[in-house]
Amino acid sequence: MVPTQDAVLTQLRKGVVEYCALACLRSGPAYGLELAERLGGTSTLLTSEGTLYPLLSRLRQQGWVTTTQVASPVGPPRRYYELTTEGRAALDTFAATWSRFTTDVRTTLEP
Amino acid sequence: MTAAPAFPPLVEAYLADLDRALASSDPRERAETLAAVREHAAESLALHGADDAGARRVLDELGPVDAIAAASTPAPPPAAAPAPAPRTPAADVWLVVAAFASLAVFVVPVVAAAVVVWAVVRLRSGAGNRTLQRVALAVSGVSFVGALALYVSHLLSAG
Repeated sequence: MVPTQDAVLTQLRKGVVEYCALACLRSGPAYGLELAERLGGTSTLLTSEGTLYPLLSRLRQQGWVTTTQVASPVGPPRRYYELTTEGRAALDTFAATWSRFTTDVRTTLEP
Repeated sequence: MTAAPAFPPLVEAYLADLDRALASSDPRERAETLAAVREHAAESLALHGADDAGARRVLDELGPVDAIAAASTPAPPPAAAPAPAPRTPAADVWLVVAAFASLAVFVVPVVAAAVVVWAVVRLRSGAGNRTLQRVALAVSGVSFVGALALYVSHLLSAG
């Protein structure tokens, strides 16, 4: 059976998107909608923006991000997500590994 | 404390659907996801308007509730109930009773011999309470040996 592109993407996202979320926080704290827009939109990283929130909850429980409620100028308080030292270290490890991994994958896939 | 914002009915229905879809998710993740999605909806409605078009936009952004549930961690299985303490078979209780009875009537070694055989059979079966079986074997064994010793001493004194 030939897998669909969606099925391939679902597999590829596992273990990757969480680090992309961490990478979006590298430049500074961000609130949910902001983060969802950075990751979502037309990219293939998220199935939908809503799927980001269980992932953020897991990152918080792992201690890779912390959350802080900050007043919003347009609505209810915003929950800002911020990278922890441990989260930054995890991201650095992933980035170094990912670079080698993608190089190998690209080399293998090239005709 | 900030009061929860009132959402358009479409968004409220979506949040209720999401709550149900997350019923079998990890409880902490479920609560945090629901709170974060509510915040996302409130923020988006504040930015783009809380009319029908704004509500539909929020739902399009968040995507199907099933997709969010699929991205969540399943709740851990409930802890298994402790296994009930094994019951002592009545046969082993009677075995011990018979062993002590053989001690009381050790002058009749047939009783002790029968209990020894019974205890050995129970022990070899691997079933029941092995401690009681060993106690019964020891007590009936002592009874049997005592009876034998009495019998031998009687023969010696008669000779």
